Amino acid sequence: MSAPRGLVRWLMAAVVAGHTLLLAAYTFPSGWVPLRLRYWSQAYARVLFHQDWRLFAPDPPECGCALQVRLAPDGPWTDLNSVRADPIWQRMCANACRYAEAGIPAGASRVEVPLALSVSLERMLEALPKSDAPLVRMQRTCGDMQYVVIEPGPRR
Amino acid sequence: MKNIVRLFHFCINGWLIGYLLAMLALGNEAWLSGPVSAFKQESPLHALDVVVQVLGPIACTMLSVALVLLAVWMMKEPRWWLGLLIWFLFRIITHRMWLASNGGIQLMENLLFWSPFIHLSASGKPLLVAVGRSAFWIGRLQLLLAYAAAAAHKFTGTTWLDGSAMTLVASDPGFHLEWLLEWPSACVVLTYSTLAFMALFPLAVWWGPARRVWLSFGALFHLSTAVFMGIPQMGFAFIAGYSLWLSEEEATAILLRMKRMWMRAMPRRAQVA
Repeated sequence: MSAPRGLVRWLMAAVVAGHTLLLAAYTFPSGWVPLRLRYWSQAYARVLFHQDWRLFAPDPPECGCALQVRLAPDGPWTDLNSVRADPIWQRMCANACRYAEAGIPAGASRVEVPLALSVSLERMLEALPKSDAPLVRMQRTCGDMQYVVIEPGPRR
Repeated sequence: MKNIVRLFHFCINGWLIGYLLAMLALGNEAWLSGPVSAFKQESPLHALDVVVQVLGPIACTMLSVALVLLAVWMMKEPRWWLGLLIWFLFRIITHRMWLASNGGIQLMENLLFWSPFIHLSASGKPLLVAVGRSAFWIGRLQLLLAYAAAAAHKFTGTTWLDGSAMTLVASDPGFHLEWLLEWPSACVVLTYSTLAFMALFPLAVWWGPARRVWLSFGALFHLSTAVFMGIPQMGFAFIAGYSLWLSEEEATAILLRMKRMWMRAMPRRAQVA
């Protein structure tokens, strides 16, 4: 009876260690993790155990980031976060801007955002008066103002 | 371990109830802000998305009310299948609000996944106890991993090492910490103490006296991020997770104190009981 019980104990310890190792490979800086292990950790963790601990890291952002939207070709630019006052909306505007900012190539004035973000932005724009071709841009404040136009990424 | 598990269930379900009540108080805004599908279009489960999408805010409100009731039930009488159901419904809500997510919600998604398995540690069957204990250790290590990974990413930057990180954070109007800029030395102290707290947490919790110091400091740290930076979900999620790192005696004492407070608040119920 003791052999199977001991076996179960070792098996469970291996499960705990394996799970934690894969999550560590998924969450630690990519440069610290071998490429193959990183690949397996992403396959394992992305769906059920996703987590991201880059809290203000590697450095807190130096530039202010805000999304602006224009509903007509010659219309005024409106701050997206001023559309609603609730904290969820404010958090979403801030996160959307930071996610889009992460994909800007150096010196570019346009950025293509991933599908999930472009779908969410589309839905957020439904809170505004209807427009055929709304234009979204990012205002980055790094001493001076920089503007980057946001475009939806390719659809599958 | 029995009372640690009881306290853990109480804490994470308490967090869940608080989170859902806050979402319900925000009304439709919370559900309409980021309605992204949880399942791929070709998945048979996509029909669930379509139902939620069509019924919209009403479905989400009903889902949240149901989740609050299930969480209360789970606090009173933990059941493994109830825990899994709570996790699944919670994931539907957090998928819809992915753009408003943060580390606290991700931590809770993970802890809620393991909570029904942790409950199995109270079962009398050896195999289930082994599964329960494994889940318990996964939950414990999850908390350490969060701090270790957060510290590791900070070590790859420059501002956390030269002491200027908190000045940058305080300069961001989104975090309401502009008043900190008046004390540059406090920003430096906060930068290094945050880094030291996170980097040493995974080591300190293994030794009794250090564990108490780190858990107390951590509770204060997370409470202050909740109050001053406006991210209560994150702060309270970590504090709820701390229950896994308490000793059986500490968990028993906290449960007794909570019971006494409850009796004092509900004198009539206590008399009847």
